[in-house]
Amino acid sequence: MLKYMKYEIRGTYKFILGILALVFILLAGMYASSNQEGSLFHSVQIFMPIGVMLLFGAALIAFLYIVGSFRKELYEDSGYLTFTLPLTGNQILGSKLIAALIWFIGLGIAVALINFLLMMIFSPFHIYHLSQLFLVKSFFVCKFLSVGIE
Amino acid sequence: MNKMKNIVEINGLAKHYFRKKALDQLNLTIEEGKVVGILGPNGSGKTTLIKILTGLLRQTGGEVRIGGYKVGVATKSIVSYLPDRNFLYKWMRIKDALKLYQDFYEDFDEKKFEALLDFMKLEKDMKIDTLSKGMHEKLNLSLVLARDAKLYILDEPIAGVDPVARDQILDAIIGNFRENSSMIITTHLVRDMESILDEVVFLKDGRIVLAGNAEQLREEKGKQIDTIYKEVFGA
Repeated sequence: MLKYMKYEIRGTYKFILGILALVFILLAGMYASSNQEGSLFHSVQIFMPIGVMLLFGAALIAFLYIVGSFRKELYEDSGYLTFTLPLTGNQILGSKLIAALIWFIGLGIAVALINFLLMMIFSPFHIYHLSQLFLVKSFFVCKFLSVGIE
Repeated sequence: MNKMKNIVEINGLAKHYFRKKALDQLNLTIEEGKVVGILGPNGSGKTTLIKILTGLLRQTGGEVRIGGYKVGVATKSIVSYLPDRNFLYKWMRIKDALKLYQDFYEDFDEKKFEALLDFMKLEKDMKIDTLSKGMHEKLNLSLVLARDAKLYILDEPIAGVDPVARDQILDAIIGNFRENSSMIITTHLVRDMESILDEVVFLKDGRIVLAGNAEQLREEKGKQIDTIYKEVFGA
């Protein structure tokens, strides 16, 4: 079962890293421009909702991708390989679910770290109130994801 | 008592898709060491039969035993199956496919696989989604034949492949067949495959219409299997 998880993760990691890179670039852009006076993202009122939307968007894409990986096994040709491996259906399903869980937790932690890092770099002066908001937000996102998966 | 061991025993096998009968009261035994050709036009139930043997579909009725086991994890580890699709994961290189087979099948023989790759002129670093149709077929066959399985199931191994590759594939099948295992081959390219089949089973509308030793059938009817095939299925 662990063996199958390995292949499941190797099959999906590029896509997940892609999402992460995209989130990183967009957030970095937002942070960078929020530092300038008169920028669209200068005020927290605009920065926050867009940031939250971005994170939920990323989580949603990852979620859909993982759903897609189940669908692919059922309706596409790679199912011929997966379902003739000497594994029970529960082992295959379990591996896929655990791999999905690992991705979501990993993605949540990575995004929180990115936020923290960018704050340190771009807006050390804002940390005072932004960090409060972001900690709450990151916590909320992680919580939402773990509830969604269970 | 020189009784041959039966690798496959199928009794009264039936598969219904709602009211349509894909397989109907099918009985078939395959002895150790035999190469059996399952012949029939499209829609005759060949693929359904194979999917049941490999555990991809569940039968509606009847019993199937492979090596004495009911179809399940135990049979999957002794059956080496070549689907008529590109079944490998798209992100893989050939060496990843090799690792996967090594990880999951204890009977996988890496040396043999390397020899087969050499014979097929394939490189381990090739990416799977860049292979041509013929190369796919060769790679898949190499993986399947490199296992020391009890039963090989090859679904249309030479369909859509050019004549040179076809010969290579047939040579690989003949050269790597093991005495103590059996092989099921489905095809409608009867003429090309005829020489390697010990037994033939003609399948029509989910029933066996003719079955027997290929040599005997040729003698009895005084015709090639290919000609018999055309007679049985011709309009």
